[in-house]
Amino acid sequence: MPRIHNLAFWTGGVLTPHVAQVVQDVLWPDAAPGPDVRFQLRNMDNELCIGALDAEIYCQRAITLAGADMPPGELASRVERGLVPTPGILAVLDELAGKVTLRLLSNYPRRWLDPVLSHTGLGVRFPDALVSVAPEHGFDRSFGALFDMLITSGAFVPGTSLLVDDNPLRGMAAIRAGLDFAIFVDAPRFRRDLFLWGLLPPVS
Amino acid sequence: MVLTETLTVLSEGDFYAANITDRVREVVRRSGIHEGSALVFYAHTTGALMIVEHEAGILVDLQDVLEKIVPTAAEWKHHLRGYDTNGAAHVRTALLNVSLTVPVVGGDLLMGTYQEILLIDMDPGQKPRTVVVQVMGE
Repeated sequence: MPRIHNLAFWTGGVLTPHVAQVVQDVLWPDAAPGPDVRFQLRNMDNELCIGALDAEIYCQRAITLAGADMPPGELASRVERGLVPTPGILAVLDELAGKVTLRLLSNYPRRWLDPVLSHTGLGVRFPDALVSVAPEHGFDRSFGALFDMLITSGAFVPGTSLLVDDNPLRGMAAIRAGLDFAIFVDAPRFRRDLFLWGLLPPVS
Repeated sequence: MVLTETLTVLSEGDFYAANITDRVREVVRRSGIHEGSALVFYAHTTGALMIVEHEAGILVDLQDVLEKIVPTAAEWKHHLRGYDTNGAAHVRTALLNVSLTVPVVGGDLLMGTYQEILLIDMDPGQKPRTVVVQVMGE
């Protein structure tokens, strides 16, 4: 009998691309910007996650960073279209359905999350009651606060819940906080790991 | 034939582990080399390359082992010049590998099922890190 009964998935970098990656693809279509800009976009994603930025201000800042001539609303719409399910992830979620409870942790606001849920097939796999939107909680930069909230609310039970994320530092912090954690690189690797967690049969 | 490319990895530092397997694989594919080897070289003094299973528990275990044998808070003579305080990272790097070589067979890296190439950045803070990939063969 597998120990894990619940899986909680961060959205950006796991279920969909990161907002920063989509913005980068839109505003720098010909060549990736330099590391400084990419770090700034990544840091803006972190601010988005803790509710320090909303979608409109995020877009304004990104447009300024790129020196682009684009209304923020247009960028927001293009980000919405770019937040598509990670290749292969829907099939993995379908394999898990009925075996474990699936929870979604969104690190971007509802401006983008709601269209993702309604237009991509992710919504049917994550009922509303099992969706947590990190920006609405306004956590400080310590992700421990989010872990505490998830545990206190009963959404995440140490010993039976597995957190899935692509951020290795957040993952190491989760493990040190007593949580089970699976690092996400891509759907095929994650599917292979789910066998090692005892949740799915081996890949044939 | 030889192809050399440089990868930039955006690291958050503080034991940030980046899986660069697929990026190295892409360099091999671009090289067009079918049989040979890929040398992967980390061009910094406070981090390492390793081939391990990419599992977060292993990263925590590795950090704990390194902390036992090379504790961060020891009195490192490297700090005496007052420029930085990453003495432990330098010693850890010296004990680990900054380069590794993977066979290339059939135009791809020949690696085991659970083997992944990870870069571990043990310097503090967010920085771009450079990895050199050199594919040699025919």
